[in-house]
Amino acid sequence: MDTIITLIFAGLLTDNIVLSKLFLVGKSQEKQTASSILIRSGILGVLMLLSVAATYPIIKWVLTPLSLGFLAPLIALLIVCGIIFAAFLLSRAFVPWLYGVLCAHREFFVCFAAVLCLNLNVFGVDYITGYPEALLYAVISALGFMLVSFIFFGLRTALSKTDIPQSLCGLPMTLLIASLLSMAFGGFSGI
Amino acid sequence: MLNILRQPSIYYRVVLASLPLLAAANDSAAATLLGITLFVSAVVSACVINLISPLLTEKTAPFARLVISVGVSGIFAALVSILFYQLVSSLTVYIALCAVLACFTTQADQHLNTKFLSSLSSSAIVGAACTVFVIAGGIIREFLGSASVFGLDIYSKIFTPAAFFTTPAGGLLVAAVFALIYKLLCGASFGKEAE
Repeated sequence: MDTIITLIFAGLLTDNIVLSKLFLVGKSQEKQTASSILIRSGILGVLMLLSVAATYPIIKWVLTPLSLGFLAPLIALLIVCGIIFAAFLLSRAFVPWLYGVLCAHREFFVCFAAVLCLNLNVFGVDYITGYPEALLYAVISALGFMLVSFIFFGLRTALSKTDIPQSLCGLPMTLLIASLLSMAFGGFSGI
Repeated sequence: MLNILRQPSIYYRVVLASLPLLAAANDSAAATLLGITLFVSAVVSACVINLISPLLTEKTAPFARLVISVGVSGIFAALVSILFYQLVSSLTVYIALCAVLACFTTQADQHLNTKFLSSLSSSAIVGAACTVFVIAGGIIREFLGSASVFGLDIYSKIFTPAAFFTTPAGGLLVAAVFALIYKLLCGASFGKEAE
């Protein structure tokens, strides 16, 4: 139970994948609606879960015992790309709207899934002791992304009603907001 | 040729592709290694896409081109990890991420059906802009956060450095200032497009 609580706190707050690991804010956080946030988070969660499910066994149980850990980045990247490519093909055949979302944000999904997989398998996160915890962490990381997206959505809605200098509009203001949020989320590390 | 950097889409690509590496680059050495890896990955992937473009068709979906870019850049990133393992053990995630960021930076799809030198030059310019962004960010973070540059102590005996800049929040703040400066330098052509 303690492990699960630690995972939830880490994935959502202290080790949030957007604000602590990947910094992929900016265009991915701008001009979103609540429904697009939910859709993108859902897709990301599924992709990250599948990516971790595929890469964790291979890297932990095959490459590491054979002292082939240096291949982990390449293998993880190729597996993540393969999963997203499969999702791409299936969605084109059966779910056209999903195909459009994947096309528009393919690098975004690959980045998130790849960083999560590599972070788990290469860094060896301390509080993840096995395969089930790794899968749970993947889902919680997607929820962490959704949390940050909703916070950005609310902040940008509030900022749109204020008078911001022209030069700060857009990406500089988004990054400033991200910096303050990262500082706020870092405060949770004491829990 | 440097006018390519004044386009809003390039501005976004340079800043956004460099952000994940700024997460890791809290000192000058790490920033330099990541910046150089990103530059080489960007140029190599753009050139390979351009060279094999006669083999690709309209039906070879955009994602297939991404996979090719990631594969080429991933191999290079793996080589760096092997050759400099002791140095980069903590950066392995981000070295590998350079592979993805490379194709995001250069929009590998754009290198089909263009001349090789044009492809090479545009990818080199955008890659160099990202590299400068990452290296400058790393140097400033280390200077302000650890009072040193490339491990050489500068002013720690005079002032206490602000360790905040070695944290992710500090990295984002440095990125925000850089994005602001970049926008001010190229701002005349941005207008509403960059928002």
